[in-house]
Amino acid sequence: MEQALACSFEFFQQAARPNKLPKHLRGKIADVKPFLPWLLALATLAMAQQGSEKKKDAPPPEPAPAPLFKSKLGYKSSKTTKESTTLGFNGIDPSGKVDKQMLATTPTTADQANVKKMSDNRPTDTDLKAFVKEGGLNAK
Amino acid sequence: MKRAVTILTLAAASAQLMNAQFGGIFDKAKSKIDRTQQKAKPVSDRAEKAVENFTAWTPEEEQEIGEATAAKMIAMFGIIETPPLVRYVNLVGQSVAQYAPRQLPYRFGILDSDIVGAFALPGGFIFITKTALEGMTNEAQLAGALGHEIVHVAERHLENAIRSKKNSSWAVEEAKTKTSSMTPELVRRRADAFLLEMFNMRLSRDKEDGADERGTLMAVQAGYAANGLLEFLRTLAVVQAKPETQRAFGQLLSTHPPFDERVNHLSPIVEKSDKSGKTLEARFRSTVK
Repeated sequence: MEQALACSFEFFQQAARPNKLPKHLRGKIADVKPFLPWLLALATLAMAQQGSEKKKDAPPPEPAPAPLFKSKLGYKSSKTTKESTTLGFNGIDPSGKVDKQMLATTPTTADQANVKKMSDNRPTDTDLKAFVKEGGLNAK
Repeated sequence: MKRAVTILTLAAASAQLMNAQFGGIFDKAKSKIDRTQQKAKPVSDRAEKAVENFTAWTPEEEQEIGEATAAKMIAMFGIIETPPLVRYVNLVGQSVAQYAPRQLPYRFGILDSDIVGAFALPGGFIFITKTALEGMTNEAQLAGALGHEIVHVAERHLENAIRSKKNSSWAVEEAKTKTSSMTPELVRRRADAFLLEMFNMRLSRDKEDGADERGTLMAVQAGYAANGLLEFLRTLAVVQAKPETQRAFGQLLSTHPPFDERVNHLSPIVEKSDKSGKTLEARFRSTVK
């Protein structure tokens, strides 16, 4: 688009100095001349449109929320590639309600595997007894 | 006399015009209301039928719905996968769950969410958010918060509330499919309806107070300090007072009583409880960091 604009600008400049052009071109330029302002206006409009579309495509990322508490967990999450990360504040609207888009999320096989992992993560009786003993908690 | 006749004629003409202009609108509105009522009736009938036929889920149904809702929660928020952290939360949860009034395969997960909250799903799936965990300072606080959720599952609080709410999306969904066998699609739809209700439903005050109370007592039975949940609620009451934190607390506050009221209810119970329980701050700090 920018290239087209530059060309039309050059053409317009040459048209402004018609004496320097060969005769056969002068007639053609005279034919095109009335349309030049329209062409320029259209090109400007198209560029503006493109610019606004670009803006729509990539909304500015929401700033990370300020930490609520002093402590900040170091962790690995299953979320990194999920669409929820693009919703800002993890799919929660400003009133704190779960976003409708978020509620429409469909679990993947990886999510279902994570549910199974939750069952696998249940500690064994031996582990639990050791944990209770280590903390001086009550054994059942 | 002539003037009066003119006025009367004008009034009659205006009345005709008004009727022609707006009468149609009124008729249309009335017939629309009638049609909506007719259309809604079978749905509410089915919902009522579901409530009338209320029976607790079978253990298999509860597990299936629990698994489907857990998968959806993980899909929505993401789950923390750091092994020592996951193991630790499960060990604390199991230490308390041993004293639950209904024994289930309780499983605990940490949701990767910026909101402060914890969720109890059917079948013993319990989630706490990473932000809630960040707000805790010792193991007794975590034990108390998980105890609260265990009580909700063990006593079927959400299941009873959702299934007894006439015209809820859950009741309608359940009624529509009452006679169908539990296909994966049906389980998914029920899970969707369940979560929709869960995120918008406020349990009764006595259920929430009961969960605070009995959750605390279970943690005490397990050997934890009685003031764990109480301390955590006090922290949340302070942090929540800042206006910029509304987004993090909106969900919790729309479904639970205000923190200060929960603190007021729980304080005398903690006062009367055994004081020999452990807070295990060092163990908590060594894992949750």
